[in-house]
Amino acid sequence: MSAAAAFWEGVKHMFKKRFTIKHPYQEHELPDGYRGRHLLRMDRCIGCGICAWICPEKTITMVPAANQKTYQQNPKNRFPQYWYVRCCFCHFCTDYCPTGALDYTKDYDLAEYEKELIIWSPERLSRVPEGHRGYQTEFHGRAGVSHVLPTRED
Amino acid sequence: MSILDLNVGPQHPGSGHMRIMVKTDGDFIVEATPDIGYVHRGVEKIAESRNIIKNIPMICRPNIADDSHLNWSYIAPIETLQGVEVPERALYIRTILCEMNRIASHLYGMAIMGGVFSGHTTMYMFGFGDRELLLDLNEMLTGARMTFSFSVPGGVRRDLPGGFREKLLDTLDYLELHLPAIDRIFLSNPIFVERAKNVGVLRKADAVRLGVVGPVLRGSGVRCDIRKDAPYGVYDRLDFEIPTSKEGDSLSRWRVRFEEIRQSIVILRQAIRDIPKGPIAKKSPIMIPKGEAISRIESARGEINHYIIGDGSDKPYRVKMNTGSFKNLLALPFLLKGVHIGDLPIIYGSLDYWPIEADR
Repeated sequence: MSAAAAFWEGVKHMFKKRFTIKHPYQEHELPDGYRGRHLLRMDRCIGCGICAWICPEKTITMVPAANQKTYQQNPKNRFPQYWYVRCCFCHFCTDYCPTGALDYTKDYDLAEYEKELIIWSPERLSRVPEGHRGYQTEFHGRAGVSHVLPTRED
Repeated sequence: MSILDLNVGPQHPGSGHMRIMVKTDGDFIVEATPDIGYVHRGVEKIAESRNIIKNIPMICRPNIADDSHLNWSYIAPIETLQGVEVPERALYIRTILCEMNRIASHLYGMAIMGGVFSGHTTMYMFGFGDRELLLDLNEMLTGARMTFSFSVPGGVRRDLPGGFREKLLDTLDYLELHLPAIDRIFLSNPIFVERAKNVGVLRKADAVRLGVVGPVLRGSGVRCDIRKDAPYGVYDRLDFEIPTSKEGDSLSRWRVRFEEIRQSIVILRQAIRDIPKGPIAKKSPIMIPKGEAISRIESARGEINHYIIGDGSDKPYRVKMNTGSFKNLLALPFLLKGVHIGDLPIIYGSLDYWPIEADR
């Protein structure tokens, strides 16, 4: 094997498909079930606080909802608020949510200029991002509370 | 000539923070002392104050290129203590994820520790380009590109998604086609061979005496792999070989890793073919019963152990991590004695040392 063979290998790859994308202009296509920021369904949240308890990084605080609506299923008016500076996106909160109120989204660009803006209130978390398809946790199943899951490949 | 002290590090262009205190006589290294601990995080101590589920993301963090092995190694003793029998499908999914991680980790190692440290920019690009395909598969299966926190006591968190099998097989086909190109451009490249052959020779007896593990040990001709010697998971049902090399130099260590990528492809093909149907997880309590247990897992950087003592609460009483990088570091002062200072990056790189994993 000569150095020319190695050099030729490099030259050949100049004309092959690129792996890289121009990120801010081109979006990386994410698969279903990508663990981005959370989506909160406030009409399902019962305010049990299991998400705050299981969170390894203490991202979640239980706070009252700022909007004036009353939620029948949540008499204490407690909803999770995420401080995304701390979040490691393990999504144990989503897996352990007993009512399926939390969900995955493909939203990953969470950087902000102001530190207050990176605290996501329950109302902000409940905004459905653009292009969000169906119910991601039902698609992938959850470990944790509903631990025993059927085969889901077919 | 007088002895000159030289600090290599703590910042490196490739690996994490670690200092090597080198005493040089002219161009030759008289003595080299690794100074570790720059990225010590106290993982073991923090683990004592958190419950076993909350520990999972933190335990995986020390090695982000190869975190599924650390995850499995931490989960295995807990499952032993709890007496949970993990469903077969979960074991197969863990095996698939771990082998994908092994390939990705070796490509990462070849790109950074082999390519960058020897000034081979094309290998850096090749390694990262091919690793990207495996990260896409990780993303599809677990939802995260790295640091998946995927195995939980009793099983895994998700089942194989639809279309995963086809995508995996496509990727493996591509890798098999592309590995000869990596071989031509890097491992058989006369410029790299000149650089790495007979550099940092670790003889078989020395390797055993120093207690190195993983590809470093196999590169010295010792046929030792936990997947064969003490099979865990479903590895006893899979047919694969353990590549070894007799020379024990830097080149042979990379050769062993390169052949391991091929063997991982063989394992992945078998695992995706034989994976049975059934549940992916069994319900297990969030507590560790009284007792102690240890795991032995073959990661990309060698054998890793987690020794866990439970006291009946939901927090482990003690978690002791023993990682491959730390064991392999013991060979570094031995290998650096008497070599040219220019060979230091090649030898350091050939150990595929991951400082965060060693410091924990």
